[in-house]
Amino acid sequence: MREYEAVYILKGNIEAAAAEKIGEKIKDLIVNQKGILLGHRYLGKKTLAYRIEKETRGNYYLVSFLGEGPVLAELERILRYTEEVIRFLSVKVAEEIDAKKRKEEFDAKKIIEPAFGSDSRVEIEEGGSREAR
Amino acid sequence: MMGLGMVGTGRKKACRFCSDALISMDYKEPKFLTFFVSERGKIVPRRLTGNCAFHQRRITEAVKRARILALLPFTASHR
Ligand SMILES: [Zn+2]
Repeated sequence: MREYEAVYILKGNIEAAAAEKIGEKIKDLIVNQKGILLGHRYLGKKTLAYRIEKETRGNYYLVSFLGEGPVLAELERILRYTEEVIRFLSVKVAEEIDAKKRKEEFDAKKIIEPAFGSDSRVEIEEGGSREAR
Repeated sequence: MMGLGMVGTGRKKACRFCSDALISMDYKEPKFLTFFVSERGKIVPRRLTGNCAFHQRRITEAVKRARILALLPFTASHR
């Protein structure tokens, strides 16, 4: 099995219930496609470095999972079709992963993922002008 | 040895990632990445940072991913 992770960005003003629904849809999809969900979490709300679909802020989420190509393809399809998702990026983390061991590592929180924190924003001088909008 | 570049004074500078394997190179960490882009948002060349070819490639990849996710700008933003 391969390990993948995907970051997706939801519109800045999305309601909590709508965001949760999308998260559930993604988690269900991975399980339904015979993938193994490692983790799904909120990374925080950030000011975007540039506008995407007229949005200046975005809510970032990270989903990590094990699976083969079809799981990823289905995930990407859903992310592309979901209107509230303004951008996403999927990345192959590793090839030939020992699924059981990796799941245990994740569950034991041995994998430390970065979080932006809700108040943090991209610290780029040039990007600062975005905040004024 | 890998990871040695010449700087203006002729002094050899070691790649910071080779000397400290624990430094994260994650595209999801904009704070770390801002270190490797100029004020205009361009990737700082290896000859200035002193990174080795291997780690410079990793940085470049991380910066490009971060740009896609709007964690870093593609160019200097218009005022
Ligand atoms: Zn190096």
